[in-house]
Amino acid sequence: MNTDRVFGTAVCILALLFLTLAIPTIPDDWQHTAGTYYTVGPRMFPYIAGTLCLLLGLGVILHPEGHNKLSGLRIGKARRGVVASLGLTLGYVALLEVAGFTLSTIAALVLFFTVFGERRWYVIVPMAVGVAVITKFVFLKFFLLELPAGLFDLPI
Amino acid sequence: MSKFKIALAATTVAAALVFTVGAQAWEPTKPIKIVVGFAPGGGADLVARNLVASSQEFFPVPLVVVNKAGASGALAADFVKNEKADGLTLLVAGGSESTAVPNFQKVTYSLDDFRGVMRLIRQRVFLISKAGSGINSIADLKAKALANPGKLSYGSSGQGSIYHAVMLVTTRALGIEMQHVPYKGGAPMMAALLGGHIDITMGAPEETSAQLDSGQAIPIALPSETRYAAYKDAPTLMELGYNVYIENQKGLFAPAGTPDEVVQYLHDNFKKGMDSATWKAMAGKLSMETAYLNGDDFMAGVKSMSKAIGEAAAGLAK
Amino acid sequence: MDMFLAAVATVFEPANIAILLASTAAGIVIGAIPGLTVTMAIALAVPLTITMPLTPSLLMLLGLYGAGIYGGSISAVLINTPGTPASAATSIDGYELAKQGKALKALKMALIASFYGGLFSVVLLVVIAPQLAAFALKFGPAEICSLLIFALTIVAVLSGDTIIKGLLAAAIGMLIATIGADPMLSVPRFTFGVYDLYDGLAYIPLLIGLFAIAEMLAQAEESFTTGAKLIDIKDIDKDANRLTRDDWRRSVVPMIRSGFLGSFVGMLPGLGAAIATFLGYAEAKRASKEPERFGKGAIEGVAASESANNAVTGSAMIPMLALAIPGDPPTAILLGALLIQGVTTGPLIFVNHPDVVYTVYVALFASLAFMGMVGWLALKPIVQVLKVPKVLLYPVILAMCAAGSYAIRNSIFDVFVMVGAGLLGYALRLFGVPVAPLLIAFILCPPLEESMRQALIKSQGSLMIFLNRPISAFFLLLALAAIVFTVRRQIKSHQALPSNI
Repeated sequence: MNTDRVFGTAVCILALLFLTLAIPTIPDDWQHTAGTYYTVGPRMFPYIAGTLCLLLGLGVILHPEGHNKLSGLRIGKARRGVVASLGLTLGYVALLEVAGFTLSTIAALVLFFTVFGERRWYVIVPMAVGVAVITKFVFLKFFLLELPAGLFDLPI
Repeated sequence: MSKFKIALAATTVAAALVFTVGAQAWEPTKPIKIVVGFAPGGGADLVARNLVASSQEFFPVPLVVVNKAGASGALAADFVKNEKADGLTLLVAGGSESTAVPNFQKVTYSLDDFRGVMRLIRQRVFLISKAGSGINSIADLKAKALANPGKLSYGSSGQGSIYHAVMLVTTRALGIEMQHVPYKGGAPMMAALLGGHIDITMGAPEETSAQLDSGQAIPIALPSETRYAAYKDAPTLMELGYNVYIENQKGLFAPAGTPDEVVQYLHDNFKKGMDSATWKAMAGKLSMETAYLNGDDFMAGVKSMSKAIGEAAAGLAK
Repeated sequence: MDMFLAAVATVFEPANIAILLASTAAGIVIGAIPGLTVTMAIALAVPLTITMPLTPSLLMLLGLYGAGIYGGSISAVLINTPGTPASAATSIDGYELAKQGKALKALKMALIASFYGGLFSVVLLVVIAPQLAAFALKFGPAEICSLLIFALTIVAVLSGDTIIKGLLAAAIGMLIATIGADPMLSVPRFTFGVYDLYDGLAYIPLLIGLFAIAEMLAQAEESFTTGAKLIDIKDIDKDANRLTRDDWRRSVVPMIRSGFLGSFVGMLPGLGAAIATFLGYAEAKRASKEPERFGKGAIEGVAASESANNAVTGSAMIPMLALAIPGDPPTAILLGALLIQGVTTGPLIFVNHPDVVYTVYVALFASLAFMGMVGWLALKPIVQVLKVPKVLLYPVILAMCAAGSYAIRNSIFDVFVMVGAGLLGYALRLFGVPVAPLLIAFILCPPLEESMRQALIKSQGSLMIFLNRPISAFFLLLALAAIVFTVRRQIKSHQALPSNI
């Protein structure tokens, strides 16, 4: 089956859901609080955007253009690589506010490096610790911005 | 020092507590976060950074400014409301998020979720017209608006902003109708005024002095109880017989339920910062109008302003 | 003249030169790191300037401003991630050049074009600031709206061969842009009570997600080709990285045109460098005799987009100095910083503080010169980034992107937005949908909606306001011409090449 047609169908379904379910959640009692001079409400642009998505999704179905890059994912190793990266990224982000920026960054970097084949510990450890600590320090001292401290409230 | 304490006792009812419980009753052991609901470099942010720079020496822990910009300050207010009432998280409050926004939108907080620590500054709001537009006073505005009902327009920094609220209350008091055109902030509004795309805009004196001093724009009135020194010719709306009092204030809120001795400690030490030469020098440079009030008076003022805006907004809904 | 010489003398005091040098270097680094933006750097530098005299504080802020905008092009070229939104169009051809082993060449051209764009707009500022500022005021809601409609036509140009998918990407960008409080009435749209969404999806996390995180996922398909360098070339090839006569011939005209376009966009309030750079890029492609070169490593594409974004830096200061109305967020902060120094800009500044005006001019020229020098010296060291193995580089980029996304509003929500945008970007890429149109629509739609609805309030609903006003009608005609031109070119290329699906 043509992947463009699958993609176009998915876009059309999502656009329809957007038009029929999401847009009605925008309150339409704005006329009562806005005075008498408003002719165009907050729903106009979402309607335009949703309709365009629907029409162009149909366009993709009727006139597939190709150029997709799905072939790379046919290889099992490639799929595993993407899933591993995505999993690690999500885990990292979820950990940020729990363990704090420094600890979660060190953990995430060490895992990333080892999962993807870096084995030299004398590269992994200094790199992970260095990047985490320097980033935290620079943000705090030079930009006066606090990165997540985490529940342990570590000083670094 | 003792002189300072006497002054404090006179102005603050709760000051009695200090003497009975002892000034050292509570001391912070962790950094104090001062949450700002607007981006770095904005008015509220500069107030916070000025306060931190001048008060740090009176605190044993670091004071940290945290910017949580979004939803006209409501994002930060919601954040602080949900923090522990331990005095370690404070909100820079008193502007739109406190007085105006809750009257126009559903928000998850109310003023009862906070208690005032102190007021730091006030910021006047001027009604401004373009030079040569024929609107040089409130009387001109009223006459022109009555002659062209609904044709004149004013800019504001957004639906439910404090500027919008000022014009709602004012047009209601004057008995006129005007179109409301929201803009993103003061600069595009001033550009629209000078380009003749709107008839009235609003602004704080320190932000619009360039246009006012050069005579491109005219301050026609202000909704305060006294005139503003630098633009003495602009009358207050109260003088003209319209009972409108709205202005921007910036002060500190703590979550409701913060113990009295904690609020007292914060108040006393930040007050020392406000009395320091550092604060005065920076406030002078930034043209901030220092206007101290104690926590309870500050909260009472904010509440009455919020009520006035609420009544005007309710009038609009009818 | 005396005042001019006095200004030169103060600017070139050793202490001031040191500050300029430091802020230029810092600006390049901040600009190059995805997630740290120029606006943020300037905002955070303002409190530092409170205690400084006028000249060093001006030098510090202007140094950060120009260098930061240029710095964004470095990561756009090297790792396909624009360091600032202003360089988003640079990555289209810059990264292609890097893949061909010509990163140094792309960076050289980016630096030269940035320098030229900055210089051109500063000269405009010096020569005819007051007249231009008066012209900029003529742009009311109707004019801005029509200009933005014209700007939207560049979506078709950015879509390349996949015109339907490109338009679809733009529609998706428009749809995402409607999340958050509506610009006129603050009615919440699709926020579901989440305050983090009230101001819409934050721009920086979206940008770095779409580019950096999506790129990381794409590279993960090959497990970062274990041990492989970012771009697999033995060494940086000197000959391939020279700017040839041919490169110059192709780049000069687009660069000059972009200087004009960037300056024009810069002086209108509320548009900014990101729109300028896309407009410059698209106009270069539209005018080119060989548009098929674009997107495959055209040096003129890099020149056009970088000249346009740095041209914004000088021209955004035109309304700021002449009217005290800033043209973009960084200049708004500059205006505040000048206020702290006791300087009120506006028409009176030329009378009351001519010394300040001269100091601003000299500081702008000096910061440009330093940007050129520091940038040139930094070229070779910077390219060494390419020698870091991918398996080490991409995770480190991820950590920096997470830090940058978080720090903008102290919000973990924005970090999740970044990851979500990364997934979206990667999925679109898998299905062959270009991402640039999505981004440009996301940037253009909020001001478009705002100005359109402002204009419709003024006209009480009549669409004639867009045709009655000459400037507005002019831009609508331009937009129409651009559409006709694109359709004709599309038909022609289909006749020449029977579609091979």
